[in-house]
Formats: sequence, structure tokens, C-alpha cells
Amino acid sequence: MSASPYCLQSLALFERWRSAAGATETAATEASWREHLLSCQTCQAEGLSFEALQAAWMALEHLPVPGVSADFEARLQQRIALREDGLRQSQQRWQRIDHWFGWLHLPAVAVAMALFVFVKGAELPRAEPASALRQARSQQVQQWLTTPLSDVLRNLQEVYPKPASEQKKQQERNTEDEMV
Amino acid sequence: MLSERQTESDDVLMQRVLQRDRQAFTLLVSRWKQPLMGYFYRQFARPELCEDLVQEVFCKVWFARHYQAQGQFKAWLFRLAHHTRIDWLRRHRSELGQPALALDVLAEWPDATQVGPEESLLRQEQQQAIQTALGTLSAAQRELLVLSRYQELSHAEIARITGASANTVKVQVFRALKQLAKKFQEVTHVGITLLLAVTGAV
Repeated sequence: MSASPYCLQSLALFERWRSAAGATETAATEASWREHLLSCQTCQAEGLSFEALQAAWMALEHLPVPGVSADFEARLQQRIALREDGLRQSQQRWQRIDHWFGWLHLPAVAVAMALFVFVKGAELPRAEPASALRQARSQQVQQWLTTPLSDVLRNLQEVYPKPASEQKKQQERNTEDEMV
Repeated sequence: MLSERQTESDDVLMQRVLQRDRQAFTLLVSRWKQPLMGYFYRQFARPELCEDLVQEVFCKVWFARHYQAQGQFKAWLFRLAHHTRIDWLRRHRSELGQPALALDVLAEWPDATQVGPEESLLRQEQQQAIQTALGTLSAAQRELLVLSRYQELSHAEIARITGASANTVKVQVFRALKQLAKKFQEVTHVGITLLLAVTGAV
């Protein structure tokens, strides 16, 4: 569809003209639209007169349409009957297949379910082989948590020994405490 | 029984069609075959093809499983026609050329026989011109003009049929008319000049 510019007012007037009821309203709208088309620059640029638009619109009305042929309805009924036959046949074909395999329903469903469980089971994440090791580690950590705080401090002091000045001060403090 | 049904609304008849009522279907066919023929013919101008498409639409009506367009049977029916048209266009894109109106159809048009031979010739010329002008529009523009001009559908209804917004439809109908007017002007000018030359008036 072309994307030519259009005048909004002209569009509105066309709408009014198109839906005008009665000769008076039509004539009034016609006059407004004609006047607008003569004075509007956008419409003028398109080079269309009211007469040209009206002529095209009116000419559409006189376009003949041939009637449908005399055997239209008979052919329609035939067409419908053919389709209904086709539908019936395809339904019957399905029913026949369904009947033929009817006794297989239950075992087929059972096999399908077994296959599903088998395939899905294979896809499930397996238990970690190192789970025993993980359990042992967590027990060890728990044991550490129950270690008395004094032991922890002592261990820490062994790992991170205090500088010499600090040790001296600590010794002095300890001596004072003893004297007290 | 049939005469009682003739007064029934399209909606009621359609509800009966859903229950496989052939009489109701026949009534709907007799009511709508000609408007549908007009819808297709004004776009394709090939009577046999158009009849085939009308039959296809009625097949869709007969095989419809649901109908929920209460009070809007016309819009629903033309929506089916719109889709049938789109399907056909998709399948036969290469086949579709400029629609040309057969002159024997024009000769059968009642107006042509009710007027004098000169006026009849001029009218035929005008009909040929508008058909040619219509043929220069895109398929979508042609459809919009046909729906808007002949089927007396509102923009909202056309929007429901074509799947566009009502505002878009309004603008597109106006654009299509402007384009048609331009082409019609050109074709009419050439046609009348030729006609005058043939009849010896020039």
C-alpha cells in the first residue's frame, strides 16, 4: 500500500460525505469538501478535484457483477458431499487402525511407561561416589567445633608466634599478676 | 416452514447450520451467494474462479465447528471470504494478472439495455475504465474499496475482517480512492478520446 501523505481534514470530510444521510447533508458535506480541496495546499499538490473523487466513487457503484450459474447450489451440495465422504473415510480409516490395534493398548502403554522410566532413570544424576569421603570431612569439622577455645588459642599461638616485644610485655604482665 | 425460516436472522440460521440443518444452510446460501460473488468478482473479474471461491466460503460455513460472532454474521462471513481470497492469492500468485472485465458481462448489465445506444456505449466505456482503474490498485486496496463501497461495512467491521485497526482501514480506504480517482481520470480521458474517435465525433 502506498504511503502518500494525506490531509486529515480531507479524510474527515470524505468520511462525512461517505456516511451522509439524506440529500441535504450530502450536499452540505459536498460543498465543504469541494471548498476544502480548492483551498488546501496538501490536497492541491495531489491534483485531485472533488469531481474526480466523486466520479471514481460513483463509477464503482455501476460496476456489474454476473449472477452465479443456475447449478451453483447443486454443485455446492456435491462439493460438500464429496468432502463429507472424504472426512468419513478418513475417520473410518482411523477407526479401523484403532480397532486393529485396540487389544494392544494396555501392553503398549505399559511398555511406553517402562521405557520412559528406564530412559528418565538413566538421565537422573547419580549418587556422588565420594559421598563417604564428604561425610567423613564434615564429621571432622564438627569435631573441631567442639575443641575447647583454650586449645584453639594455643594452637593459634603456635602457628602465629607473637613478636619479642609483645612477649616481654606479656611476661611483665604475668609477673605483676603473680605479685598481686 | 421454509417461509417462517426466511424471516429468521442470519445468526439463528447459522446456529442451526452448526446442528447440520441443511434447510438453514440453503437459506444462508441464497441470501449471501450474490454479495459474495460481488466481493470476489470486483477483485478478480473471472466469473468461474469467483464462483469457485464463493463455493469454498460456503463449504467453510458448512464445516464450521464454532460460531461466536453473535449479531455479526456478515462480518464473520466476509472474514471467511477474506481468508479464502488470501489462500487463493498465495497459491496462485503467478496466475493473477490484471483483472479484465468481459464485455459480454457488461452487455448483460440491465442498465446498458435501458438507455440509448450511445449512452449505453459510454456507460460500458465507464465500466471498463473503472475496472481497469481498479486493476491498477494493489489486491489489498481493491479489497478495501470493495468492502467499503459495496458491502456497506463500517470501518470497524472491515478492520475485524482484515485484521487491521479501524483507523488504518479509514486511511487506507481514502488512499485507495484517491489512487483509483487518479487512474480513473487517466483511463477515462484516454477511453473517451478513443470512443469519440471511433464514433467519428472528432
